[in-house]
Amino acid sequence: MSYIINKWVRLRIILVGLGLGLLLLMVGGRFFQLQVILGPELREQANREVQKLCPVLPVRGHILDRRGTELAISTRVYSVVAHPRKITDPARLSQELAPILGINPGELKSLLGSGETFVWVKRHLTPEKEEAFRTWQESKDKQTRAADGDGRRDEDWIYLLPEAKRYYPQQALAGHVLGFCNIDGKGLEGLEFQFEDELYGKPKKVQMMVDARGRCVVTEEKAWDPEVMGHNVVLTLDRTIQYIAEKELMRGVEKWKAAGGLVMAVRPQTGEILAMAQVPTMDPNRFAFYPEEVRRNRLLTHAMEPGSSFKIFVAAAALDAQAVRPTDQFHCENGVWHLTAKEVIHDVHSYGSLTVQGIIQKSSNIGAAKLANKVGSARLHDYLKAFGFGSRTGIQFPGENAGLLKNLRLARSPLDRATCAFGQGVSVTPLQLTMALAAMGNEGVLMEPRLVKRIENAKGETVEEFRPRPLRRVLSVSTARQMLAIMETVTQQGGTAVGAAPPGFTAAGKTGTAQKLVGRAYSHSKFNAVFIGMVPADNPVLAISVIVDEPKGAIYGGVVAAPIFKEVAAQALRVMGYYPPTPNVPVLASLLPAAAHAQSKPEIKETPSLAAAEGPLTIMPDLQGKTIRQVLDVLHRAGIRCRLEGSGLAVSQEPAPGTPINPGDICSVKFQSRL
Amino acid sequence: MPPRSDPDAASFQDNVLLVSALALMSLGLTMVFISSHVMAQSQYHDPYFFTKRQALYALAGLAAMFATRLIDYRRYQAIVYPVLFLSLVTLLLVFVPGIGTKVRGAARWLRLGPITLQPSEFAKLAVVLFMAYSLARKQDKMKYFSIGFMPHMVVTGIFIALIAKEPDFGTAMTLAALVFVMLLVGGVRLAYIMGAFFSVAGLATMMVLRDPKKFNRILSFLDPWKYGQDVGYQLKQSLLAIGSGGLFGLGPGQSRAKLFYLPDAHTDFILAIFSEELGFIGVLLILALFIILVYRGILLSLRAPDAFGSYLALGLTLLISLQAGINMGVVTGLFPTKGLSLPFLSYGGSSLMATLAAVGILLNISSQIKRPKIAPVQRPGIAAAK
Repeated sequence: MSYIINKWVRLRIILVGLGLGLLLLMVGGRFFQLQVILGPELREQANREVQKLCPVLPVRGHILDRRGTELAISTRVYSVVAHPRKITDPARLSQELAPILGINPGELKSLLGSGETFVWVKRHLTPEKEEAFRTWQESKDKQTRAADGDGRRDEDWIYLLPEAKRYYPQQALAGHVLGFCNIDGKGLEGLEFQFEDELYGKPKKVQMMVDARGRCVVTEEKAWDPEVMGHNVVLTLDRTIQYIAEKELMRGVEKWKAAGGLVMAVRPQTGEILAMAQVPTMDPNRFAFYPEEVRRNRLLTHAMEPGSSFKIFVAAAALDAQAVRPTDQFHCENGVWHLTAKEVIHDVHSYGSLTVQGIIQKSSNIGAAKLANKVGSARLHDYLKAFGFGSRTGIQFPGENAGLLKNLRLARSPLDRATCAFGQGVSVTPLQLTMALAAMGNEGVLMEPRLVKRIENAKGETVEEFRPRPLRRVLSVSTARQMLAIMETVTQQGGTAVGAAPPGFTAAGKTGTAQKLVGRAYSHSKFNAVFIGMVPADNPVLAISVIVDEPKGAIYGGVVAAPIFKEVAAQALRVMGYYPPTPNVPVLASLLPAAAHAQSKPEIKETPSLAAAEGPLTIMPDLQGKTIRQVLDVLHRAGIRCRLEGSGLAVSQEPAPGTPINPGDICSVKFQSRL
Repeated sequence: MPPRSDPDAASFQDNVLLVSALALMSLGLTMVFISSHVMAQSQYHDPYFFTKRQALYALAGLAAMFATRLIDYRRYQAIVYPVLFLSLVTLLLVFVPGIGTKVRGAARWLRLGPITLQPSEFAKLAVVLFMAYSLARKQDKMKYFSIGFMPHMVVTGIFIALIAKEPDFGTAMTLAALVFVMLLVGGVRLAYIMGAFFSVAGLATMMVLRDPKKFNRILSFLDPWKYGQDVGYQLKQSLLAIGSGGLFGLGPGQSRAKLFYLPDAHTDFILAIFSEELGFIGVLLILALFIILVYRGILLSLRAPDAFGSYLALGLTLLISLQAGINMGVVTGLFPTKGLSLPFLSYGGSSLMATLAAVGILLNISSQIKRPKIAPVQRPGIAAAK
């Protein structure tokens, strides 16, 4: 039946072919119309659809200590955001998402159904929640891609947005100095508030390609864009000294069951603040858990009566004004001085005649009052003002308290004038007190306190530098030196703070025990124990003030605060590179016969081997869960050679824990990364 | 006529047809990767998910093509009805839960262990086979209503109805158009065809009006910009993608529509991505390849050694090029949106295998063309050059 097709069929086949050709040509023409004629217009429209001006949130600059240790950094976290107006079925979404995000389903539903254009669903997800959310997104992708591909789904309108979150890696260290930020990265307290403009960074808008789900196509950049990074603030604080100060203060506060305490360390020559410690501490990572009082930097917001420590300023004024000579004797009324019929000043111990040095060393109230009288209220007031009391120091920190210095010229009673001499009726901040003290260690020149060394941009280039700034000369060089000599006696035999000098150094200081004001009266049970001092006494490199709030058991500055001073000073000096002078060659030992001298030599040799005998391990330790570095540390110290496999944390070892081992043995440890 | 009567026949085939088909297939493989990798990465965490599969399908398709190239096309005449019955069964099986799989509400696939098949793709081949066989056999009686028209309408009508029921409206309409064209060529009276056409058109209109989803598609087709946010979204995105391509395109791999903007970017709308990346120039290349295919197919249909071969060649050419033309029309908004793949280019194993098998059959027909015996002395050079 193989007929050959007839000519009419042939014609019709040719017509069909022409028809198909026409169809394809028509399509080609349509492509020409769309691509060549309308092309630019359509491309423009597609650009509008695809490219979005994405705001790039600014990233807050870091806060670094003087050595570059990071005290406050910005980390990347993700937040869940949504566009409720676009969401059609909030009930279903919230049912699914509530357990994933750990939110109440009802609340989530009302949030997603609110019809707002943009809402934050959950800020700063934990890594686990972020992972759970991503898993949810992926499972949704799979489900819905298969179901209906037209348009956008509800799920596309709820997504993760990267954000910068403030993190304080040193936790509570200097927390009250650093301050903290709110969830939007706006500084609320402390340096974060003070340097808000510098730290904040520059938000910018970037033309980005966005996929149909509204996600930026270039998604995971590794590092922050330096253009949006704020400046870094480099502090004068030394992380190590700060740590020492906080640790020793905490120990002191615990020992005396005190309500709290403050320690401050300053370099007298530059006014740089090396440490600003306070107890109780505040971890800015969780600032909301702390009461307002604890969050504040009380070293400069809290004015208190300085107590006897104030006497050195009165004495310095008296000497500098040449109202008295160091050798002048003052009769201290055997402890009780009746100014008028009603007004009496007491000393803790009764003294007869004392020199200026004696008044300071013994801390005689009556003597100090007499010194103040010698200077005269007007001059004394001028001196105290010159020391910086009663006015703000100008430190770059919010909320500084000016303290209170009554105009002594207007003081009505002689008692008011007199009490000022031993630190009653005036209030000063620990910062003012420390800076005034430091002025004596800086040959009489008062420096402006500096907390910020410089501001640098994200690349590390200095933008602004804060140089040491002398405010004014308060004392002559000779008076300053005289005062140091007088204050040195306080830490020596017969002083109120014997043994306050760290070993190998001399210290110049002054104790104080201030009655706290409760209501309008002085408390007889609540005191501030104060010690302010400088090391070394002859050429101070460190001015430290220690204040312990309401110590129990002992109240005196020399007992409570001075040991803290000693510990902080001893350790801080080492950090700063000052070591106690090497002990003198034992004079007596060199006089001994040669045999005895030789005998001591093997002893010296023996010591390291003794120490070494203690070190090595005799049995295999359990290395499970340790990092490579820790394992190497342990094994190298024991002299064991080891073979390492993998990375992460140790999961298995050969030989097993508890097996006896000898130095030189080989062991192998397997590591596995947890993820 | 015995097969391979001509000793030269076995070695002769239409290589132009073969080359353009292979070129389209290779372009298709590349385009499947380019258009799907973003989505594959996001959905399956493997950018090559679809590409790997399409490569396997292409291998299977090539095998099918070689097989059909070697089988004498006349032998199909003996198995037309079994093949027709088999594909009818597979079309019915689609609706059987467990064997048939529903994707996006459409029951178009059969799941056989690890592989899924789309019976409608093979049913199209079967229908073409049946039509060619029937037209060639009834040649003279085609003008009679009860012989030339009614039986074809009933048989193909069942197929088209089943495919439309899946629903796969695009394939059904394409198949209907193919049947009409073949009947017309076969000699059925134009009046019958027009009558049938209008009744089918009326039926289709009714279905469209009753089904809001399809009605929306018509609406979106009429004004994709107005409905660009919902029903016209796909078409609007497709037009934007095509327009973005311009004359020379955005460059390979630079498509933006594939970033989830354009649904079905690697299947039905693959040409939009292609034209976005390679521009009008690239589209011309694809069009040229299809036009070569049409030209060679029509030529084959005219030169085939017998009527069955002619109608078979015509049907297969129509199968490929009509679908291609309609798909291109859909992508550019000339026709209402339908689920219709672009032969050779779109992702899909059944479609690629059926298409390549069709190419194989065409090649076999081309190998059996009765050519004048090689007699250069008798023939002048002018004729040889033609």
